[in-house]
Amino acid sequence: MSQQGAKRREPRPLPSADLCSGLMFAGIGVVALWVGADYPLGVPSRIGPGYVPRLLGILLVAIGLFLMVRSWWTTERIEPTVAWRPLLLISAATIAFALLFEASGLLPAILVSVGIANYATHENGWITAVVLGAVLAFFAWLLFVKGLSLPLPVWSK
Amino acid sequence: MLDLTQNLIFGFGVAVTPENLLFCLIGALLGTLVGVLPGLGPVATIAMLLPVTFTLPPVAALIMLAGLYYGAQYGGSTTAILVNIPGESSSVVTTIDGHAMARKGRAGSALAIAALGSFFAGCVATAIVAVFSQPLVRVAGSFQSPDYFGLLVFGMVAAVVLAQGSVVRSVAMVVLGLFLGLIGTDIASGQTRFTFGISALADGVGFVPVAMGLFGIAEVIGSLERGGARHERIERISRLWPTREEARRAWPAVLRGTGIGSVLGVLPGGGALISAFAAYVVEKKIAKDPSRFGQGAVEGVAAPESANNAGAQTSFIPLLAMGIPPNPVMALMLGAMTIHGIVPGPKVMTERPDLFWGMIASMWIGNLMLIIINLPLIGIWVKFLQIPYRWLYSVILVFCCIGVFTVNNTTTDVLVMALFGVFGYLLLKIRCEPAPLILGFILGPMLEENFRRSLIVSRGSWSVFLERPICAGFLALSLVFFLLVLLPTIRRRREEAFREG
Repeated sequence: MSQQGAKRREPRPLPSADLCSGLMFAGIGVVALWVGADYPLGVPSRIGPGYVPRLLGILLVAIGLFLMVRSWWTTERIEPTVAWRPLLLISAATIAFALLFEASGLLPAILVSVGIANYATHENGWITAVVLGAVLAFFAWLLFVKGLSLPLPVWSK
Repeated sequence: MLDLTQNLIFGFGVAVTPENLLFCLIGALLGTLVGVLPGLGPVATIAMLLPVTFTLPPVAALIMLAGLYYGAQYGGSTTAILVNIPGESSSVVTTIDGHAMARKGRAGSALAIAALGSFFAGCVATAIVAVFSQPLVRVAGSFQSPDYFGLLVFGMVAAVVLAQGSVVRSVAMVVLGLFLGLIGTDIASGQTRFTFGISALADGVGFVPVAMGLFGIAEVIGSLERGGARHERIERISRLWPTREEARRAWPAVLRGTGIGSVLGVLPGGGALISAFAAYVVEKKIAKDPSRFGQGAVEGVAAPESANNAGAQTSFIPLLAMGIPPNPVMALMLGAMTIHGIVPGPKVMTERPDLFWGMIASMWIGNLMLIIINLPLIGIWVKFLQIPYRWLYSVILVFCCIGVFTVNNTTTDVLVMALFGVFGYLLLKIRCEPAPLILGFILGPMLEENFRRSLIVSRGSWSVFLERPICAGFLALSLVFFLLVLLPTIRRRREEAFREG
């Protein structure tokens, strides 16, 4: 990061958008090259399964490095804050849906995932969780199971 | 010409059966609803509806999904004008002058101009799709692998140039998308690639969970961070009819917007969003008194609203004629066609004329329905605006989960969606646009396949890409596009264009 040039107007040095994204792209590129190192490249007239991944991996690393270099003079900054509450609860609710659906069917999956997702914002209390969960479970059952007769397990043990 | 008339009559015959009319109406209604509701877009909704379309005949399913996309363009303007929040990303610029008109008590005429402009644009765009698809299908029929390769490269470059945000980062996102498209079993050699030993990944990562994660789940998290789509007040609707003066100003702007949208919609990476931005910038540039913009200029509503509807509709041309989706919504349409066993591409028109012409005819009918849905019934949609986001997001989440599950009947896809939801939030944070990634992801396998075939034909020589004039033309055009956007003056202009919002 180029914070030495004290001309910046930001009161506090924020991470550069180019540096962060460059690191990510280069990192993914390196992983791609590493994992794909064993895939056969083939010959030019009959390229193997490793040919295109190798090309793309090199391209990703190159662009990533370019972005990192460029971050010396670009000024775009990012807000380094993370909204942990919605991030964790929404992804937890999605994962819970997947696991519970597999284990015990549609209704428990909906009730529990709504119960978790409900608290992603502090504006919601337990009443919204119960009411929304019940209403959604009913409508999902009505629409998908009764209406469209999709073969979804509703409530299995 | 006679041919076209006959085909269109045939298409209308397909579109006006009671069943297809009903699904056209459902699509238009749902589209208006997701358009009105901020934080819920056509990509997530179409993905949620994919399972519903299993049980429908393909024509009805695609008519409904198409209606949803252009319907959302109508609905988006309502929220933009009345509450100063874009209901749809493509109505971002409409908030500027549309809401200014509403504050001056001209909400009714802003809504009417937006709807009538959209209707006009929709009619013109439908005609354009009908007229231009046929010759394009013929052209596409003569394409060979190197030509497809060139076209795909051009498509991705254009998508990057037309996307919002940093060009270099968008290029990286396309490459990342191409890379994600490789995950799974290589069709030519049977080798599994980048599956990390997970057997569920042998078939590759599904498009629907990736799209729903990036656009559905990540959007929910982002909206919650911004405090939901909160709004203080909804402006009252006055008289719906524009004054003579307003109509005089709006009319030419509608024409220009329709033209811009029709052209930009066809380009890969194009569609509703870029059309609206470009139309607004053009209006401001050619206006005698640009200072009126931002103060409730009628042209600032008429042009972008016409453009986004025209762009939404003409973006069907590359999908229907060549089987290449120019934007994420069209990629989902491609997915829907595949689910019903239809291979998108030049053959659709000859093998499924009912689908091809029925869908085109339904677009005109759908636009007619939408003008009725959006003007006399505007009060009903305003009611939906009062649903608080803190209730809505759980509904979106549950429907995303069920929708993703039913596409392949596997909960792995739901987990993949969760993963891409988190990844999408990260991308949001480091200011990388997800749209180019999705495009690369869809086009990746096609690109590799055509690349491989070209090299087989040429016995390994890359010169094949320069020897075939069509391919060389596309590659040259890509290079020109790319260099243009790197020129300082153009780059500044492009940034300006996207900053209007």
